[in-house]
Amino acid sequence: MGPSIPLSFTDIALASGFVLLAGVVSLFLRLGMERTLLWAALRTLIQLGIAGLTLGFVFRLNSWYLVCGLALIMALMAGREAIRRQKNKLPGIWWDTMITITLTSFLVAVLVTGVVVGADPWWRPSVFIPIIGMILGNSLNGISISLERFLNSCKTQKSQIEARLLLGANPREASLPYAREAVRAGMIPIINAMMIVGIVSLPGMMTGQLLAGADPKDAVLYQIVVMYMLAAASSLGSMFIILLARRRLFRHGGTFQAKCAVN
Amino acid sequence: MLDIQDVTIAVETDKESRILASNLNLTLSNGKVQVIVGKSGVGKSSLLRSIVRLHPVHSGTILYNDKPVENYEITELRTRIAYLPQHPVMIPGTVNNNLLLPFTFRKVKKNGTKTPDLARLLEEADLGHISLDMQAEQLSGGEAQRIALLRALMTEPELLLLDEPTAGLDPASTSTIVEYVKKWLPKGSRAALWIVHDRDTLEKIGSGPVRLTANGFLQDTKLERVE
Repeated sequence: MGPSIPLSFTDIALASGFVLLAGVVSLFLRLGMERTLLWAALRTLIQLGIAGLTLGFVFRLNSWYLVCGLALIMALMAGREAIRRQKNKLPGIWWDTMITITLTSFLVAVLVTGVVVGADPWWRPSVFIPIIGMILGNSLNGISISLERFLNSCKTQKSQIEARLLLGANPREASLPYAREAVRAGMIPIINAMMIVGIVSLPGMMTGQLLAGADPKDAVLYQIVVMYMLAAASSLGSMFIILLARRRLFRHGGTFQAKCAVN
Repeated sequence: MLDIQDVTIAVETDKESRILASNLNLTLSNGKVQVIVGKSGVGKSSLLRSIVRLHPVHSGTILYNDKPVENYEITELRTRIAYLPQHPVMIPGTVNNNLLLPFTFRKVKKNGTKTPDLARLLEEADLGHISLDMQAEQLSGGEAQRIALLRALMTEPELLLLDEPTAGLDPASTSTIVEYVKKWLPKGSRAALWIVHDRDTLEKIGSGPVRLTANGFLQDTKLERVE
């Protein structure tokens, strides 16, 4: 184990040889992917460049509102992606998704940095930003999967839900089997990841720490915390979005707005 | 028991509402079964669904025991008014699960409704051959509809709305359902509103229908006009 090896611009120039290699493959097999590949390589460079500059700026200024502001922007981007993945456009779900992803991610992130990791202050940018970034990437998945599943069930199982309502069920009771199934679906990716971590895959964060010269033991301890926090974020996010979506589907105390779920 | 006053039924599409029937006025008193006939698409189902607030009323008032239905707490309304759809909806599970489904809901528990003797109920609905452990998906159409009727009556409702439940059923099942409802009716203050499409069911019920048209209810005693 040693200190991390910093990279220079010359190293990046060297690495772009790999893109060139991919370009040669495309030319050789006439895949017609050269322009797309070039565009993707440029985007990687520019997007990560901007991210690096922004992070550098936020780290240097070291103020809680900049950290929270950046985290909020990241949360809104994640929310936008979660909505973009939905086939069913339920009116008002934009707000529900944004509220869900922001609240649950901030809650878990603050608990991790402030309580578990014990960063002082809790918003220390080099801890808080990577942590909430990982949470967002993960709960975005959970939220979009469970929401998609729930709206789909409500659409296809409309007669089942109505039958329950007609027998005196409240909205919660009428949609309970489908809400459960949806939250379960949202939790499956992170549970699967927890099952194989360290055996099939070495997670990016841990790999990054190893590259940065961390002791494997420390890297592993961090990764365990990360997996557990992602499990919490996924389940909280999935549950919360279903609660909010249900409120939209069953208005006026139980008039089931299946129509909303259809378009 | 039920007062439909100047009701207009419409289907709401994205921006506009298409009027199906207006000037609907109907009074249903205790102990009575009122049969409704009418062309398909004229809003018979929507009217019945409006009574249990599954469908919004475009205009007008529906009074249940002299109180507008929208003033009832929704689960209260739906345990006092039962609705039987054309196609029975069985939840996944056994006949027992289906019959006891209402008792899993908080409102029904709070009402303190007693669980009846299920075996005897099945017997009364000519379903003595059905085991309570049987999977509901194995029931025939006529059996499922009778189970659905028994289940709808579990909450001890006073008003029963029947949305052509006998459409497509065999004559024996139809007779059983008609007889069951007729036997249920005189006990206490009860009434039924029954949408009927076929002459056979109409004759078995044996009371005069009203015809739902776009411009209101018409008294209709000529059975041959039922299609």
